[in-house]
Amino acid sequence: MDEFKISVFIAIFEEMFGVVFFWFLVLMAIVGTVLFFYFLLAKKLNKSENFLWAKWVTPLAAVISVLYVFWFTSANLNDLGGTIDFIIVFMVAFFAALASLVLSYLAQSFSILLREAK
Amino acid sequence: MNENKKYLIDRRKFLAMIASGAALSMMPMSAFSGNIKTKAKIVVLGAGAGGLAIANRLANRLDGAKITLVDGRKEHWYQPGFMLLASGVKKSTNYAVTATTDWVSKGIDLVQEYAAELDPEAKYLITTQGTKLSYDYLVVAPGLILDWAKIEGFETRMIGKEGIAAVYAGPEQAKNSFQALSKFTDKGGQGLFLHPPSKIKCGAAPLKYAFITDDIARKKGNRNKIEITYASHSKKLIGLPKVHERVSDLFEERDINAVYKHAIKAVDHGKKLVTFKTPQGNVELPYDFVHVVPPQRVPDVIMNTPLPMQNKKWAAQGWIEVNKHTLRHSRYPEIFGCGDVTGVPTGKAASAVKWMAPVVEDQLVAQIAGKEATKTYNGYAGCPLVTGIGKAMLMEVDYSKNFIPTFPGMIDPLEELWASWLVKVIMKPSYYAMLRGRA
Repeated sequence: MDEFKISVFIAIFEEMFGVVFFWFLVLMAIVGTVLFFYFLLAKKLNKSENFLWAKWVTPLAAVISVLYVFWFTSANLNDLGGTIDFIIVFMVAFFAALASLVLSYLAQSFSILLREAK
Repeated sequence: MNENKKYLIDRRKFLAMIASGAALSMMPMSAFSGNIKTKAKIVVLGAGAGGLAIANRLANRLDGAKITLVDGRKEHWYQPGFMLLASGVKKSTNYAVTATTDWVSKGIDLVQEYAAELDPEAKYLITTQGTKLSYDYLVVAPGLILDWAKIEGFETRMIGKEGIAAVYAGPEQAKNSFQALSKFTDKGGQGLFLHPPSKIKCGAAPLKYAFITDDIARKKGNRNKIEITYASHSKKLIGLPKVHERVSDLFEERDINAVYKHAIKAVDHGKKLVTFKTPQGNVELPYDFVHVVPPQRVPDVIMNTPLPMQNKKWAAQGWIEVNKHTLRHSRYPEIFGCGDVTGVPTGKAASAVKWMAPVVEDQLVAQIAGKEATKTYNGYAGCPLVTGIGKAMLMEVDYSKNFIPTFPGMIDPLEELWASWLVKVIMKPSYYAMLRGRA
């Protein structure tokens, strides 16, 4: 059952993105997540303006990601036929929203830090 | 649809499946997963999916072995992509074409010459350019050939023109087939699809192309302008009875006519007629658009050896006689088969190669090491049976002809799903990881 091995998933993602870009993405995801929690918990930069921005960014990212996946797969809403299809759409939207939330908080936190530094 | 409920599982089974998957990921691949030192001479005939996957796996496992990969074709074709080219989903042949050299690991000698002669008694192979390669072990994975000569009057230069499509013929021809399909679904007329009288690679592909044509015509609003007929060589649309029934229902729903026991015999380009051999004699069917699929068989270099099955039923096609579980040749224990060329009762598909390649690696390495092999092939073959652009039914079966879904309870093999179509359009990285021997 090679398909369940983590090394298999890594091999597939390396083919998908290229070795260098894949590991760059992994690194960015780790750094981004660490910084997110650092800003959120240690620096307590969870100001209301962050939330306001994220409120718009996350649903937009969710919608755009789903539209992108449909475009990439030459499909549309009519092709959704079973529960698994809706679960995948939900997962795509959820993870895109989560990633955009982290990115928007990071961007806002950096801008706050820059403003305070001045 | 009670049949389908069988594939659904409860939450407990689903969690158990994930847990067993995690446990499996921690298990060693085999009892002797380390590298083996050997001076064995191994020749791998064919640099398609099977040949490349095995050569790369062996190069990774064997220290000191002389591994030679033989194939005259400079290009490697991602054949599952041909259907996407022929349906207009992918526009450029670059999607399906790479250089063979892109996939060959260090430590493998690539001989880019075609095999001309194989002597399994004297254990050597000679190429068309006269290179003689002797071996201790041989992996036979040359794929199959499209026997166009078996269709009287058919000219391959016509593919893409005057209503002729042939998805199997190659990347360029698959792309050109879409031009013919496009014109047909604009103008209308009689569409003809067929399965020839032999085993073929991706046995569901002729069905897929009929469904895709129906779908494209519907999306253009021109379905009422076309008629679609599917001519099967046997008394079924596809070998698996449950799938035959399901596809029959879909054909009825989509107004696709089916005729049975029609074996393609000839094509008349001028009169736009296809002649079929039937139990009632020759029957001519007219076409404005036809997807021509030729009978298929092993290459001559294999046909001219004692390797094919001795069973008369299969003699004309020449599939090689291997043990269906070990993939070792029945009469030549130092010879293994992989992929389309093997005479095993399962589908001829890249998905089958994915599961054959680790078995051949394991069996061959065990034989060199003098140990007992731990892996066997269960006949797995998977196929997203495309039923329109954006949906498919993901059928995965083994030798028992039972469904063995990779995602039981989540993907129903007989349900049209976007998730199954997703498998079709995003499987290329997985295929390439397989070529490198990593998946």
